Amino acid sequence: MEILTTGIVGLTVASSFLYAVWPLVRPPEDAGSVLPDANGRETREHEIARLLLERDQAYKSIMDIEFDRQMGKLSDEDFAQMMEGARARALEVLRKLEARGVEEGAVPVRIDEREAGLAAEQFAAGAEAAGEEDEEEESTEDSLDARLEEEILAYRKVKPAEGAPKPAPRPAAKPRAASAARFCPSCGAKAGESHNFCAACGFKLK
Amino acid sequence: MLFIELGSYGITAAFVLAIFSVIASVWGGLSRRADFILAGRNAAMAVFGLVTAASVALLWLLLARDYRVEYVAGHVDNQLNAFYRFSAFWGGQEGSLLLWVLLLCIFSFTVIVQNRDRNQVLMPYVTATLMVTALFFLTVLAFITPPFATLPTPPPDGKGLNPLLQDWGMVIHPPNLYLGFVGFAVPFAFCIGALVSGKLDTDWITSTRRWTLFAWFFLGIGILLGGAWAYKELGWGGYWAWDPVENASLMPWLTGTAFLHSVMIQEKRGMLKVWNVSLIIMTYALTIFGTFLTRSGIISSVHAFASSSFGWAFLAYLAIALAVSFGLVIWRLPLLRSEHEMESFFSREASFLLNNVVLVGMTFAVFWGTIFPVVSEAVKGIKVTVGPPFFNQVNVPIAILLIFLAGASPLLAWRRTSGKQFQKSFVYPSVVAAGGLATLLLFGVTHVFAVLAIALSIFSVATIWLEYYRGVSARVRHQGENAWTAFWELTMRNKRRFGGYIVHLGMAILFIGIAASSAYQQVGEVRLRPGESFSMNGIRLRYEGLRETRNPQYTSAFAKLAVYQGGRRLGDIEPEKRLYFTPPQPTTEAGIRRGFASDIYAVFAEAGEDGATFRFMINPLLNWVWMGGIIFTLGSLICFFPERWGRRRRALPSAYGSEGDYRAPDKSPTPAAAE
Amino acid sequence: MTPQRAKFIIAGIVVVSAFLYLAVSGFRSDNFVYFMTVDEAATKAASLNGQGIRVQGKVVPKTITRNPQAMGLAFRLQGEKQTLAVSYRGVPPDLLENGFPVIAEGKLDESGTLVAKNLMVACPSKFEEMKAKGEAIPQEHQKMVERATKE
Repeated sequence: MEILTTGIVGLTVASSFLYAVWPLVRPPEDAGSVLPDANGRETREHEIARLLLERDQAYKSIMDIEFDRQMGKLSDEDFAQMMEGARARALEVLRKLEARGVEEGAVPVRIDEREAGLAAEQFAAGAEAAGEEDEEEESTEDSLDARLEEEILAYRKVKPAEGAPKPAPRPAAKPRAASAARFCPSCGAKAGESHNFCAACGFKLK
Repeated sequence: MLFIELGSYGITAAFVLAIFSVIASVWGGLSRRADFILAGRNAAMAVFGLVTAASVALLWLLLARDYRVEYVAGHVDNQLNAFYRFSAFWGGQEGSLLLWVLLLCIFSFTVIVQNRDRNQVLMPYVTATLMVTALFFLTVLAFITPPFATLPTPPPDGKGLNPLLQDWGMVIHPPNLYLGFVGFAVPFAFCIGALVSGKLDTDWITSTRRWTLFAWFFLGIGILLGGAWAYKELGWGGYWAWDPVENASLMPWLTGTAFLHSVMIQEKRGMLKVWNVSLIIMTYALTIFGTFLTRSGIISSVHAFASSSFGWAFLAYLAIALAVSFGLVIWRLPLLRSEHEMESFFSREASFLLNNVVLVGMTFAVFWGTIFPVVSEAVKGIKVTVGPPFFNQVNVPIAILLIFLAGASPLLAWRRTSGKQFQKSFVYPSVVAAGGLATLLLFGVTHVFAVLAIALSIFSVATIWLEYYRGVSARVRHQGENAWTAFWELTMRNKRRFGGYIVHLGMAILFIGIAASSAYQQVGEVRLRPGESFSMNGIRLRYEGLRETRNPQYTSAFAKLAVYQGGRRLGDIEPEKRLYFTPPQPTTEAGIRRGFASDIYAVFAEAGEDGATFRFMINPLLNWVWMGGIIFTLGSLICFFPERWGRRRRALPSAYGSEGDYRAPDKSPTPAAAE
Repeated sequence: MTPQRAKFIIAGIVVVSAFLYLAVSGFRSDNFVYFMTVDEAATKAASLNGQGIRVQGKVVPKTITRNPQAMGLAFRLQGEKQTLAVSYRGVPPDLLENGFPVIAEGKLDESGTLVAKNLMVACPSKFEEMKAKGEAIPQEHQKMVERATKE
């Protein structure tokens, strides 16, 4: 019995030690997942992940300000002033993301750290953004989301006129091809040319 | 012998590997070497494996009643059922410490797995910090109080489990509290990682938000359940005595609450960075200190399990941990500068800051009061204790201010609130609170602190109601939802905010319960013969007789009391007195009739032919304390769930792309835009 | 330092001062309870003026008198050289037996008796310690156990 006991205990302890020192004995080829800046790729990944989270923070701020306004805690001037600052911050983050190849809408808003990391990986690898696991969009939509989108769009349209520097040369940024105004077949509200969902009722347009 | 060897060698091996893990992780992090970082990580996982093996071994030995092991002989006997043999694991000193380190290893394992692909800058130091903590406990377990020490001759029967611990409440209590204590090691480890690496953005906070909530929640529940148990089992009709061991668990909870609030300021406005790192260091230190207080018996307490010889080890570790941690803070001060300034008193930041100051002040008062006997003995040569009068005198006004803040804060916006808007919002809850105040006074409730506490709790509740009302109205107006859907959606889309409101609601109700039951408790002590009655405050208790029973573990006597109110028989209560055999010890079980408006509470001291001696108490609104606790639990759970639970992930629609098309609007290929 | 900053610092000082005042005022000597040995309590009765004290000692054998009618209890505590009379009204704690260690908290009256508000009896694990040190567990306790187990 002594032999069995010694054997089992010995085996347990020995294998623990072995497991612990193994990376020193046989260093891993790919140290990527553990080191923050092995070959520059990770740094960019890390930056993208961080910017995505910053972007979500910025959006959340905007929504919070909007929310406080709805709840009647902010006066008109305070609201306008804070909103302007928050929007500016959001746009700045969006610009930084574009500079790193992440386009607007490529990664959904309100992701968590893990998803930010995954998305960043894919962008760093040069792949198109993931997002395919989203199935059918639900028809109801958060109108705050929609309003947010409109405002950011509107703000963006203004920005180029104010001479904000473009991050990278784009293929012929041209005025949008004039098209007839679109209306939502469900509720009749006006919808922008590029909108896929109605901002008022959430009906899928495309 | 297998399990004994497995246990003791397992602990020794874990001790060695923990040292290895610390050294390898720190070296790997500093020199940016993946092989060392991985080795350190693997070693931490191995420590987890070994500690788990040792724990399983101890469990086996307890269940099998292997009296060769001193710990088993000391806490189990031949009569004890399997459930209590299981819980005997943490019934004594050594097992309790093993449980602490087991939980720490489980958490370390989880953190490592969760972060295998992220936080690469921080993780080596996180691993090292967690392993240093484990190392301390493993040192004590390996060299000072080994759980697997054997006896030269195994006795035929063990000493059995303390009867006070043979109760499901006491079985859950230590693991419950330890989940809280140990849980705070995780945010602390990330903080140290941030300080060492210099990466002092909010990553260390956002990565550990749920861990902080988890630890804080379990600590809070542990405190409440401890109080509930004391209420039922200790027979003095109260649930909190400002006992040193109770205070030991309260203090980290207070600083943890402060921390939960102040990190929101850093996330939102980049302020209070130094404060936050200091606060989590203090919280961690208080959890170690709390474990020390509970285990060492250095401060005389009815709770103290046994005086131990290793209190000095805890103090030494505490001193080193504090010195190193604050040294790191001082070193990194330049990186901890605030990004913004506080703009207005009437802002949420300001209210959170005040909340923090108040909570830390309360902690300081409780700490000072708790260690005062030790200090006064060292300084003046006589031991002086300060009891409940001191703690209540200092903490009650503070708690009142706190509950007011909990009410005022939702009315404030971040950065600044427009004066007029604030006034408008302030009116409704103030009017309701004033109404409550007037009602109380009208009904003859005049105890100053009770009235203030209840009125301000009403103020808080009214604010929360107002927030919900306004939020729901906004959704009904803009989204066309019905009120119930709006209520649900509002909470689920703003889990942090509205979960927090519900936690506050729970605290307000709890506070009302505390105020009423403390200020207006009625006590009566009397000796009754069978058939005789005692009346108090409209309640009549009639002693009907004694009944005795017996089981292998104890004999017991029940005193049957009929409860009458206004001539109507409400029911019966049966306080009980037990006499356990091993170890020989009597215990008291209170007879309680719980009600929404009050509790009727009875214990009896002894009974003979000529009657029994009783102590009766009426505790108004006592169950509000537990009800508040339940609501607190609900709110915490809401805060804990991820933001998108219950709602499917969606990309921002339209201009931001739809399925398959992820290019920005002005890049979309149209016929006009020839490349 | 901007006026804004100054405002906050002043507010901070006000809050902290208020708190310190509260804390310090709680430290009044009538909130204090002095921990004394039996001998000190027995001799210093006069100088204490109704100060709250806490005394630890062992119950002197054969001095426990119970008055169930009046719910009273009296006994003497053993110190190094002297003994101290203790009286208590109310529900007596479990485990109060001859020779047991007890902590009594209360005030001394004119006759030098400690009128106890609170009696704390040691936790059973203390008995383990006593056994380990070779002290005898009090006889009464054994008898009580035997009585219970025999039935």
